[in-house]
Amino acid sequence: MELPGYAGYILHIDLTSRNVKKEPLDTEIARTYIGGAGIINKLACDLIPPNAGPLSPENAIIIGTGPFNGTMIPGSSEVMIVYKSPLNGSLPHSNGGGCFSLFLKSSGYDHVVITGRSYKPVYLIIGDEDVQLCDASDLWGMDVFDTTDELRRRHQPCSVIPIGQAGENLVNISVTQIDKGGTVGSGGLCAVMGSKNLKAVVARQGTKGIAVADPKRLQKLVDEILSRVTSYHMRDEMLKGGAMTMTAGWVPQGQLARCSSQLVPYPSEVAEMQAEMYEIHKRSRQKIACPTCPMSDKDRLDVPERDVATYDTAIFAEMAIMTLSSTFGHRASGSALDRYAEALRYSDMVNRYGIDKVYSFQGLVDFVVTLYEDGIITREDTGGIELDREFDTLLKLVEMTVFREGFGDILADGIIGAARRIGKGADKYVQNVVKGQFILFDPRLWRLGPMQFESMVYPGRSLNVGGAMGAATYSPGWPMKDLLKQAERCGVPQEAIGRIFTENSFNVGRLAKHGEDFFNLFNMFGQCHRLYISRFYSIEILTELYSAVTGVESTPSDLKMASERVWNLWKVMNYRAGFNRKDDQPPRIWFQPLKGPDKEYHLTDYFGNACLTREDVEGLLDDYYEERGWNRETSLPTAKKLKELGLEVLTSEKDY
Amino acid sequence: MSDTVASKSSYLIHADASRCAGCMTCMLRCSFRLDKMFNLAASRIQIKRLLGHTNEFEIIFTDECDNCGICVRYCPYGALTAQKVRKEA
Repeated sequence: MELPGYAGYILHIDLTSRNVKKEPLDTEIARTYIGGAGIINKLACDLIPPNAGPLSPENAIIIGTGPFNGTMIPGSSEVMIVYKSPLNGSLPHSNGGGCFSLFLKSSGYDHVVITGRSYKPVYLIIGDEDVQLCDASDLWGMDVFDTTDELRRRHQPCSVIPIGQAGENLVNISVTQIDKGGTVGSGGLCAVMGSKNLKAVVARQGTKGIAVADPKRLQKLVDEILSRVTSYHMRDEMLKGGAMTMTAGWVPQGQLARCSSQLVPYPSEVAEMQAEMYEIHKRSRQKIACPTCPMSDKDRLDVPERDVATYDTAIFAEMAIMTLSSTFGHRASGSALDRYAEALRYSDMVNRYGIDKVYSFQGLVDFVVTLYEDGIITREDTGGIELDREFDTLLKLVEMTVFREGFGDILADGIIGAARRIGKGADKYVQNVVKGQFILFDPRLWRLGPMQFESMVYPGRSLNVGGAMGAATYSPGWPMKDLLKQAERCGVPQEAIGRIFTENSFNVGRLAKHGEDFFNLFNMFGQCHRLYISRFYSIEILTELYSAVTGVESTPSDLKMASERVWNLWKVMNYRAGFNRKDDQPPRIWFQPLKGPDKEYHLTDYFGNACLTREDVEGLLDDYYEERGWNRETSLPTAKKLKELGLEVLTSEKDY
Repeated sequence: MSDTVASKSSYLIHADASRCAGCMTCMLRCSFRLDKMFNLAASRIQIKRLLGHTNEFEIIFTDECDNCGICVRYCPYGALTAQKVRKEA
């Protein structure tokens, strides 16, 4: 029996044999794991052998949609992808926007599983019953944007997940953009595609419809959400400025550099420059929206006076003002327009080649430049190149990394691999890194909120899911009454409130667990969890929507349990890939003072009231594992917890 | 492509493609009104991306469009507007 909200089929592609198989979606699996992150976990658990090499034919790329994708629920465009990562050997989740989820379901498929290795470059095209592997020899060598344009020319209307040159060259820190706007694959997805000789996956706009169980009920819910969206006080401005509008107030005290040991101050005129840059950004910007998104945070950017035209998903003012990054420490110069154009040129280059600037590349460059400054490496190691923090050096290193030229071959392996290959004690300079990726928000500046805590414990990556507790995590120090409201919105059960909250504070480890369970639902439904759209959803609204779409009447606690099931399955998968408590450790640098121009910054709690020691954070890790029902020593879910979630089958294996 | 006009019955629908962000909400809503399901192919308004490096769209109304105006009500970006017209006797 078909379940409303689903297209009804899983597509299996074996690139080695070129065999294509269409398999009905098991409705029991759909009810148990819901979709998106849930079903791709189940498929990965069944189909990716634990010992599969990330770049071997045995690794699988599993693409999944959820029951909200393909409907008109605002913000329902995210597609989820899982694979074994060549960066660190984990099974990370990646999600990205664009039209892929909508078009895939319009062709009648909820999921795509790609295994094997093609003997020559191909791209996969999916359009209703027409599923083909096409020769991609002429596309090999093209960048992400040009590949997208060319495949659009051949197959419009379509959605494209391409790889750039970084993926072709098996660069571990490769990444891509769906439809030139939805970043996906941090962790080396494109290297996995490159190893399979898979240049792109293309979903054409199909002819199938998605039925829902209760159209009237869904319509009413959507109308209520849209009414709140259109009356949101920030919306008009955001439609002008995109993501930069929401991040304009984020400029922290300076920019991290020298392996997160120093804070480089902003120029004194930072406020004026920021305001000027925001105006330049607004006039340069043409808005791009993923399907059903009323917030359009993605940008097409044209700066004709500097001959720059590109696409980006999040240009933040503080990056463009002086450093281009949160970790590189490059000092830009010139007018606001010069700096903005420089940032866009860099962004265009890395987006086209397809490398991850946010979680990997910029931190890597800072790492090797610091090693050079300290005499750990010399020109002999770099192949004669002098490493400094100039813009031209940055661009040179991009090229070398993408094409694995000389010293760039070392950077292409990612921070852990690079430190190992350099040797000479370079591993001591690996700072603010968790599971092979850089921490985006240093908690010495942002305090240890749920988002920063989750960067440690997130399975497989140094990421956080939707900010873990929404807007409260981006601006620390919210009043207690607002935090409690936020907790209610995220469905923190009453019985847990007493464990988590005191009169004046909260236990961030315990709270993070509930934030994960809430925002993981977005990944299961196919819903965007960027804060300016996810803010319109609560656990009650998600529950109502799920019931209206699928006809499966549920309660908020049913959904929280389903989310917990998916999270636990994912944790076990990553545990078996070698990730345990040792990988969830706070970076050493968090416990050293961060030297700013006028003061030192220390790790504190969310309110900035108390400095935290390593023992404090270890204690919070204990609390997190206990709240999750996981073993404190190993971080492995207990047999009792798995049984409670209906995952007892996992306990039959050797870990139990 | 800039302006497209569909005029048949009770509304004159004016499309300003320069304001379109490509979200396709109009297509999904149109098909939902017709069939109570979401089907891009069944929609009587079609959003077509123009080829090239730019981010521009063409808004097309099919011959079956009855100018009900529901796409106008749901466009989040003001790319569609409707003007009520008097029906001829």
